[in-house]
Amino acid sequence: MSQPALLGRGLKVRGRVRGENDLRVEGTIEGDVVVTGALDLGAEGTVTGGITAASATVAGNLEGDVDAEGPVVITASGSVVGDVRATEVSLEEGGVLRGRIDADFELPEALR
Amino acid sequence: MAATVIGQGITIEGEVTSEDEVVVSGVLRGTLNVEGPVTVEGDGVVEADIGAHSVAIGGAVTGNVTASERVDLLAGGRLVGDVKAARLTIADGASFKGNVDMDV
Amino acid sequence: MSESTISAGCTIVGKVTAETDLTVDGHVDGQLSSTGNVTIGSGATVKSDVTAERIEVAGAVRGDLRGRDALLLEDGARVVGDVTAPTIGIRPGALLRGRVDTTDPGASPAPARATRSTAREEPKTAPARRAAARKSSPSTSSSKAPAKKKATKRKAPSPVMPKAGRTGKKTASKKSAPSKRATKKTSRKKAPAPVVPALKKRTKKASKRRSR
Repeated sequence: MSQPALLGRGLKVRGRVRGENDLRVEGTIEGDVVVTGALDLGAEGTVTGGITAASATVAGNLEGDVDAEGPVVITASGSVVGDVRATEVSLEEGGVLRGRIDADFELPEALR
Repeated sequence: MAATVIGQGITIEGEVTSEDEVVVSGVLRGTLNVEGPVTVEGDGVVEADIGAHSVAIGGAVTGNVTASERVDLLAGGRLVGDVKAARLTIADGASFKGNVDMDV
Repeated sequence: MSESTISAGCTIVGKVTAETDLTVDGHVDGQLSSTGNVTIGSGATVKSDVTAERIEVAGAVRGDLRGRDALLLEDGARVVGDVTAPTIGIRPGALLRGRVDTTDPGASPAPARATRSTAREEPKTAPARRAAARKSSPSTSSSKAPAKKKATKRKAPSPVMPKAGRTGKKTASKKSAPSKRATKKTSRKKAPAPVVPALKKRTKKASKRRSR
């Protein structure tokens, strides 16, 4: 099992970021992030751009949409301004979310 | 199943239907149809026709009351409307203005 | 005051207004609001907007949910509608299709993501903007509000800006001058710089030469 790639605290990237595995972001990215694995946006990390990943945990700042094949977790310190598309989205109390969540499900008969 | 309790701080404007008991201490304006007992408590204000299995009125009801079994107008209860029920009691201290039809 | 319950077998079509806590386990079709808390049980089906102090949802809702204090979507909740509250919890297993806004539903709504950066900056700069607007003349500030946003963005590097001297308004305070400065700066920035006039001169001469 390979270690997740780390974009450390002092690092600032301007441009698209692509990865084959998991990625942990503790620095700043201005641009889209596309990874095939899990994306872990640390509390001090900032991404200004879209995120596409297998799953995502946002504990830092995201301005952009999230497109995940699996679950997305926004922690109490996380902030997402953008839409989230995932199989499941959870938001911890204290976390900021301003955008749409579009889960795929049907309401019961009485509400259709 | 538990009873529906429309408590003192609740106001409903519309149609209420229930398969179970309904207890009203709040305000209900519209219609009330219950497949069980209805109790209008002392603080309750019902401005609606009531249809139920049985109706006990301790509060204020303005509307026609139809019960498949019985209607009891309790002391302190005030009813303005017609009653249609097989059995009826009007307690001392209750007030009632309306017609009664016991041929159900 | 005792709590109220709309039990599982009960259906209400109409408007429900509460001054107390209310639990809904049945069906509500219409409007539901409380100055207290509203709990929507796992078997409930609510076709209504819901406004309350605190809203906890474990059932199905088609409508907008507005919690003045907090909102919680629990495992099993299914909501189609927008949810707004200063604090929002969405537990794993809660399903939502709609907008989420962790803001006070009583306050003016945040703009629907016009641009990402301004949407983010608005809550931060809003108090500064409002304070500035109050101090400067209200008429000018209101029309130049968008310019002000840009001004606050650029305020940081302002000492570096060479053209500050020319305006003759070297007011250090951000409060009165910024709106006017901002528009002048932006117009300057957008106006084609020295390069084009020189070209134009050349072509004029060239055309004059050619015409001769």
